[in-house]
Amino acid sequence: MPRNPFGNELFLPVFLRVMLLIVVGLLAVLVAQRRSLRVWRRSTLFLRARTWLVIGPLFVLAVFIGGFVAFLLATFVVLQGLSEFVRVAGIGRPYAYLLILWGQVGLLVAALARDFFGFLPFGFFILLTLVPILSGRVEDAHRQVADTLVGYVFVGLPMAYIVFVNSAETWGLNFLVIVTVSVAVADIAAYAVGAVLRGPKLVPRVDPSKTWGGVLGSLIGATVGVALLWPAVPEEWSVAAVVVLVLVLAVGSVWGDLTESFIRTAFRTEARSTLLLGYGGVLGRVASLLMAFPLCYYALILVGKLVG
Amino acid sequence: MSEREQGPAGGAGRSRRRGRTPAYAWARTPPARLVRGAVQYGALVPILRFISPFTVIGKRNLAQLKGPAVFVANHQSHFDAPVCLAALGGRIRRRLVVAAAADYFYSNAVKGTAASLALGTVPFIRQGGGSRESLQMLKDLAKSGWSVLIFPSGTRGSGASGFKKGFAYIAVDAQVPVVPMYLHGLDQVMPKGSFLPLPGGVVIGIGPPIPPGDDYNELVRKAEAGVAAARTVVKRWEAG
Repeated sequence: MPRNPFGNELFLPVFLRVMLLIVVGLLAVLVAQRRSLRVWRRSTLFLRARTWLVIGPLFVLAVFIGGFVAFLLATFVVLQGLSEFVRVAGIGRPYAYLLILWGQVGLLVAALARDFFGFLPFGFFILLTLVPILSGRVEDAHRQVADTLVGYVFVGLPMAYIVFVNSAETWGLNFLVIVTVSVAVADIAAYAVGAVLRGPKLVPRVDPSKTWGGVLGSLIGATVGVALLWPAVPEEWSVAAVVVLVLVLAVGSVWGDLTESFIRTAFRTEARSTLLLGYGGVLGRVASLLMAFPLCYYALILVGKLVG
Repeated sequence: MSEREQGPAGGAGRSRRRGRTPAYAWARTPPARLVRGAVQYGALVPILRFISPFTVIGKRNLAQLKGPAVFVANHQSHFDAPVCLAALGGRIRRRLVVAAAADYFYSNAVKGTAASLALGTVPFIRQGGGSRESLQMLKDLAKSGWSVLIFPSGTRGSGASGFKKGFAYIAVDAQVPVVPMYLHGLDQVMPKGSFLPLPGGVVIGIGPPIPPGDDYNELVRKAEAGVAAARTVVKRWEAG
């Protein structure tokens, strides 16, 4: 059921911090660019800033309202993210529709039938094998099945994880807010610090634009993000858990970006959606989160078990 | 919904047997327009925004329109007309008809009624005597203040060239401007041959209105150039 966001004492502090972050980021870009407003309005950076101004508050609102509103947002990301992957990978229509369908099923299972969550990947594999079996089209079927599975594990399953953790853990909402906002800050910091410091290339064959300077930026961004959202950090998390969270956030964020890059490189495509102004597709925006979210979750569980 | 797709099978039901194009005039009565407005505002546009979030470039060109116009666009998929309706906005959508393939959208009464009610389509027959009648109906509608949306390139998957003259007859004879539009991305959302959309972003470029003049061929040439110019703007925007 949807909730009144103002009923949650975390809502206003988080909302105001996110807005502050966006406004400060906007001003920083404006100062750094030193262009006239007229020229700047036409730039990609302006479009990006405008996109953040829309999706930032929208995301925080949807998460705190919860219920079908948050579910609708997750559905939208799954729908658009998977469709984009389908185009990038050149997946055939029958496989594509199953991928999108299973993406939605995953969200429902994560929200309503958590006992079956572990069955999702294997269940999808079974479903996919039905396409060649029923259609008799076996040429290239193994590749299509494999590519579709990659799409599911890369986009669909992590999105289901987001819903799963949110509904399964008492601190699920706090975790969701901290990780999503911090990943966004880490992404931006990686871009900015990487552009200033540059440094040696990280893995030039996969993505020539990624540098070690960017990794440092990601670490700084993750630290700033978690620090900024300190009021949302649950009391039961130990200091060690928070430190590990920051480290895994930074690494996971870069790793997600690199995964998206290698997928695009492997499929030799630059095909992007025109969905997010200045950014292209959804996939590029959520790739870091998709990798970082499950990683951070299991890192926290592991630290909890080790530290007690 | 293209002109070429509109085969001789044409009109539905009794009117077809009489050899006349059914005008579906009831779909332009105030109650039907009220229902259409509710369907479009309440369902069509929100669902479209969810499946194919669209960006409109050049919407300010629509502010120059003081009366009806003929909107022409490249044709990529069956999603084109709903996306155009959503992109044009309520002011224009309220008095807009969409020329729809009679043989496809009006092949049975239920489909025709649903299309006319939800999208404001009118059956358009391309070939034979029926096409003249269809054009005349659209001219009459334009003269009485209705805008017309038409896909003159002939078939889905076509670009910004090879436009047929039908739209020019409507614009010149009714003396209404032609507004070129370029649709980008819909070929990936719902390519020819697919029956289910694959979600994805769409960009619509709207060019400045072209005065009708009095030369049909010249207007066709200008409209093709207008759609091509809108395409350039969209591509430039996409490249960032």
